[in-house]
Amino acid sequence: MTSIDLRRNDKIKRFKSSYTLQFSDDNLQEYMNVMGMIFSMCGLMMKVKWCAWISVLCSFIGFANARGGDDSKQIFSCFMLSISAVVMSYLQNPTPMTLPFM
Amino acid sequence: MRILIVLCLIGFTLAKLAQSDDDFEEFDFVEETPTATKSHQILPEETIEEEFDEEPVSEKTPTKSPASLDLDNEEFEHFFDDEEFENPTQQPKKKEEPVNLKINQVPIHLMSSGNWTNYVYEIVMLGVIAIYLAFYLVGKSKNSRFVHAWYQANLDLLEKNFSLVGDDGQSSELNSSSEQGTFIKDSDNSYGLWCSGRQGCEGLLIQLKLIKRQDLINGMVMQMIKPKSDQLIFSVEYPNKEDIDSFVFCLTGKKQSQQMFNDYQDLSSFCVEKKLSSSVQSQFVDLLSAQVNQKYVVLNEIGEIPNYMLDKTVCAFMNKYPEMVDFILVSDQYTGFRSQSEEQPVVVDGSSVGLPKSKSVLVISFNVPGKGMNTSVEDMESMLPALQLALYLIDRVPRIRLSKEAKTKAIKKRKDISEQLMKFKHKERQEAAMLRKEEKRRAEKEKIMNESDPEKQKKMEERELKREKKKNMSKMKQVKIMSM
Repeated sequence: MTSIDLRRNDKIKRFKSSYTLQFSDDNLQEYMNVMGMIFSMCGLMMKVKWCAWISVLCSFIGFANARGGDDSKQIFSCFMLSISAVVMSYLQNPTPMTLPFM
Repeated sequence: MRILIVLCLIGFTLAKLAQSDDDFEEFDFVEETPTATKSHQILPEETIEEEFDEEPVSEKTPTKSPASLDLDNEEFEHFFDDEEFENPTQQPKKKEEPVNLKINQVPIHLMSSGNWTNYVYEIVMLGVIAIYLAFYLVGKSKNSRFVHAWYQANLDLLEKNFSLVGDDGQSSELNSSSEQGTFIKDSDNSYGLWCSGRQGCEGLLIQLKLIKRQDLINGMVMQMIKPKSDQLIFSVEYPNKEDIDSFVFCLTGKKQSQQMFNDYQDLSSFCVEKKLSSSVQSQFVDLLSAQVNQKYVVLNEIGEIPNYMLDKTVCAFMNKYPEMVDFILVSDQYTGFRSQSEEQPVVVDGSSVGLPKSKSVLVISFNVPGKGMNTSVEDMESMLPALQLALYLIDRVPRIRLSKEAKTKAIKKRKDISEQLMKFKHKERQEAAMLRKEEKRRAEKEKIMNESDPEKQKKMEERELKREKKKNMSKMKQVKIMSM
């Protein structure tokens, strides 16, 4: 069976994105972006420090689960927003963080 | 001489005038407020300001006092009034008194040493982020190492079978030497390799769906709760619809069958779940070991297909690697995942208006041994038989032809199901149209209600009534004709 050459140079086709039959529809990154946005808004507006920290973590998870190359802007903006939430909350009140349930 | 005398005279009078001014001042203040005047005269403005540094009112005192110098004695009483005028002589006394100011507690400065122990949670958070980042880097490199190991082990066979191995579809020109080995990177745990230029198929897309080793929280912790294996998925799209005869077939694990059933439109509409032993002829059942027999089920459409699909080679493979096969899916009606099917391009031609375009595909998914956590580079390298089986099936599947009876049955079923789908779509569209009509009518009624002029409102209402009557009349006529 191996003796027959099955290769056909004239049948080469370029890869098209429509061939992605089994690529996952993993939406974790989008969820993390939204969560990070919500948490950093809570951190910025309501001066809740743990929210700001969680938004930083969310943006890291979103970054680790990023898919493709075209949504880097979104990851970047999520990072900026969450880090600015942390910085702003500590600039306004540099006391240590208090947890809501303690 | 004269000029000199005049100058002398002027100088004398000026000196006299100045003297008289001073006299007047001394006379005025020495009696009443000796200390106050002295301080005003002696201290220049700057020194006063320094003294009153903490009191914002103090700046006004020097401007106030010279203006009031000419006033009579009684009017200077308010100079001693504490509230009106602050006297420098009383200043030391005031300083001794406790100031009744409300001082807010100023937060301790962040950088002042010794209070880092207060920031426990912050340090914990930073630690978590640092650990997460470390795992990200380690996991990412591990995944890419796995992909590379698999690629190195399979490259020989791939190059023997395909004239193009590795293309991301991005670079403008196909330069075979530099293009080789380009992976399509979907994410840090999902890579694709596109191979093309082979007899019988358009191309083979190999997807390496690894565990999310780069994500500590979602990948690794979930792995402990619900272990998953790394997966190798080979998908082939046949160029012509006739390359696969009209049948849908799926071999999958028992636990997974329900999910597969739900995920794929073609499986749920064409297939029935059956046990392996009941679907395959006796001669083939003997080929399979008991373990395999128990583990797998068949989602099948046409009775004779499992006999063709599970031939000697496939059975031998499954006996040898009982854990490896995740699923084998062959379909001439493939429309993708359920969730994706809505986004599929809609074909508008005479035969299938509004139905998603179906493709003829072969999808084979393998589990890499090691259950994810214990998977090693060697496991990835040992996946060569999977590729061999995939290549065998690529050639094998188009050769399967149905008998005449089965073929007519299958074609009839396809027709039925497409009609059903069409009806469903038609119904949906009708409902949407009805909704739109209803909305239009409601908007019109609202317009009438909002009309301020009562006469106009009446007219509009009448017009609306007439229109409705007309509609009803025409419907009645139709019914009459129908009944006749």
